[in-house]
Amino acid sequence: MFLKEKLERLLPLVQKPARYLGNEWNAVLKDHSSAAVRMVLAFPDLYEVGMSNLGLKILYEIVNAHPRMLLERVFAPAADMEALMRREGLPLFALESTRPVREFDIVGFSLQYELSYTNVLNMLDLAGIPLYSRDRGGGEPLVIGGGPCAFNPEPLAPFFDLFLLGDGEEALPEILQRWMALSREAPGDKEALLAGLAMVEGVYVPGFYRPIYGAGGDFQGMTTLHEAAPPVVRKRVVRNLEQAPHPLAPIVPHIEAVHDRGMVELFRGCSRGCRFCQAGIIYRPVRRRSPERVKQIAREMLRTTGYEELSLASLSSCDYPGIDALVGDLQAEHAAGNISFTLPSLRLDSFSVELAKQFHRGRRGSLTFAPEAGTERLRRVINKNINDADILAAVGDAAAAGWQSFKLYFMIGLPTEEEEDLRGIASLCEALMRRLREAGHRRIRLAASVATFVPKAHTPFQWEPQLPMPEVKRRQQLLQELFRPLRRIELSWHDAGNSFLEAVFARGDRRLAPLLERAWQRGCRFDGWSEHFSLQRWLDTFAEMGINPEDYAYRRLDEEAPLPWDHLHSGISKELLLREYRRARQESRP
Amino acid sequence: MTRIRFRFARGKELCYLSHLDMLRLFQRAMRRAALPLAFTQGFSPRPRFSLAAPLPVGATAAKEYGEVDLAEPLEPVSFLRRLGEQLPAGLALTGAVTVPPGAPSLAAEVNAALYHAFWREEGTAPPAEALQEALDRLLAQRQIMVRRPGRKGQAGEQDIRPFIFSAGLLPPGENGLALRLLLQVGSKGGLAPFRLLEQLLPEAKEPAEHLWRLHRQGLYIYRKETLAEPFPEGGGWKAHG
Ligand code: SF4
Repeated sequence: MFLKEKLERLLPLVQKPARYLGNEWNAVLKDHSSAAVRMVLAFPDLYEVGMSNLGLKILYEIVNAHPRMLLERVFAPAADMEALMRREGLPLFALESTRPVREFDIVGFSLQYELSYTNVLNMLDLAGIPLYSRDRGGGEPLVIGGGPCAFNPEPLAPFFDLFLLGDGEEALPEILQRWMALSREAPGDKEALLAGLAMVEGVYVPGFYRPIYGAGGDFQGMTTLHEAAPPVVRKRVVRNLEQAPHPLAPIVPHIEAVHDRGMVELFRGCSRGCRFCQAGIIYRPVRRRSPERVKQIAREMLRTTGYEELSLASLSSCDYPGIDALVGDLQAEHAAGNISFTLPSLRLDSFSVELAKQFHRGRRGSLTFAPEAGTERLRRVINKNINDADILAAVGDAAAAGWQSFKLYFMIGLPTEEEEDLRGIASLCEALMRRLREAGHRRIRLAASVATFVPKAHTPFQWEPQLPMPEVKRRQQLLQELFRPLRRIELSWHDAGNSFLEAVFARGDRRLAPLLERAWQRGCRFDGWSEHFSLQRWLDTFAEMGINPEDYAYRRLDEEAPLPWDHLHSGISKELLLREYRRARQESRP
Repeated sequence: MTRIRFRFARGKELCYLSHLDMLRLFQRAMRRAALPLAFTQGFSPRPRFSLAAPLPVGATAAKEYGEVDLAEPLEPVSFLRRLGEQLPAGLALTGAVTVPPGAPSLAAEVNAALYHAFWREEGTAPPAEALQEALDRLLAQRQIMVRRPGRKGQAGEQDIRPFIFSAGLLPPGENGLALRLLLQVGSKGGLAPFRLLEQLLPEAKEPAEHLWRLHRQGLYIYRKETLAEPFPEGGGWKAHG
């Protein structure tokens, strides 16, 4: 095969060639000639990042389990690989078969974060696939997208043929089934294909909708352009997670993935209702797997992968009823293999001493807590109702159980934040450190990581402005000063420019699409990676295109006005979000 | 406790794995094979398992070795079958033996690696005579000082001459221009073949990794000018029973 030979000549020249091999344990290479539909799952970030994504593993096994369907993978090539591919004229290829992505029937992008959008365009371009949906005829692959960003995909709308809102376990096989039927009935007729797919619950065909803007450029609503397009697209929900398929033989990467372990999903959704959190809304309702099912999955996955560590994953794993008992059982069952079990996220208020002790048996490492705000007042505003005493107690218990390293996640720029809240972050960390020292823990490491609030679509804070960048930087500096006397506490923060861009696209509309294309042409890639991100390049692009990014990020949206994502239903009504928003403002009063 | 020593080959399918990747891959394969692994003591127990010497990224290999401790006895044939089933294409087991109690470990024994280096791009190779001359000139030096990557100052300078046991051109064959390098490896210091190849063509515009394709013929116990394989049939030590 020509492509394969070319690739083999390039591999010695790039960093981490194993990213591009596609022959990992449990990878599935199916026969293309006997498949009725061939899809490639495209993850617009590096291999190590994409291979840590649970959704990818879920869909990979479901689709490949089907005798007539085939699903391969492709990730964003790193900069060095991209340069060589362009120089040598090597098109983007799927890992398993080394076939050009363009030869597949469907290319499905996993849209996990806004800052990967330029990579989406870059991958389409490397594949030789026209960027815009309107430029792709019936002979080109269908380009589809799913994941959290599908809940406001408007900045990407003209590039995609369809988006899937919500869970993919049932919807994706349905889309593929329908694709097989429709492309048999009316081969090459793209409109008929899209109209047929638009009937699948959860499918949003952006080409069937047109935004209306007022004379002042204000968004006034969406009109539908096709009878197949529902005025409101409702997200897909897998009702019964217990019975839903779970990956049992996930691919074991050759190189170390960001999360280099097996993952068992305990439950989906989170009912905590933190008002800034989009995941908390779009993954509702909470659906659990029983402890028996979790144990069965764990047993099977350990057998097929040989992983030495399993993560019990969910948005908030401590909230799983009986988590202590479950972890105890798992550890007992797998004691001979010295398997360790970890929880990705821990909540302070449901973290127990028992749990602290159990996990300690596994592996050293650090415990992560997310108080998010520095004062109890601000925590009430964001509906993260935990008090300082709980935090101190939880960390104290964990330290008593032998943990030595702690990470605390905070956010600045939250609505109603004042200087006192910033001081609260520092004083909470200080109090923690003091408490731990008094209890005789000498070798404790404490790290505080500070993100910037990004207003996200479909959350109670979607109407809120983001704090302007200069003010974010001022507050970061203030924090730095506050932490200066607190030696031994590590302080780190997210880049303000990065969060700004995220805010622009998180509440963006279709007018951003040409800008996105232009930014990509100017060389923007991997915008979530500090070594690649250039705020200046983005600002220049905005200026060139005559778009003011501040209109998107810094504006307080009108509560009465239509929003560019109103036609996409997360399952939670706008009224309820508004009620929560108003409640937040009441909480802000002392 | 039983110690098993095994031999394997690495094909080009997996030649880009690093030493750490290889360790992870073997450990996970052993777990999948449900071998009765013995673990280290302490805070985070690990399987008692090692590979004889790191194989350079990009290199294929004919005779590599690993050693693993098992908590229960296991026939080498069952070991071969069970682990073999769990290895991906590109890794093939070619032998396994039970290590007699008291025998020195692989790491303690193996001290030499034999490489063949092939010029990758046909037509761009330097003339054989020129290469032979460069080789002669290099080997005639009593010291070959090179800078170790990532280290500064005096500590960064290292003499690699003692680590070169022999180096020469292979007779011309179907693989084009090729070198044979016998280099020291192991706990007493060693030399990565690409570092030597860099010294050979210091003017080259591309890194040695791009110019040469490496194949490791084998790992040996090199003593008194003779090579012995760290495996019973190679004469390295005698297996009992
Ligand atoms: S921040 Fe965490 S706990 Fe709060 S709603 Fe989101 S997922 Fe749930």
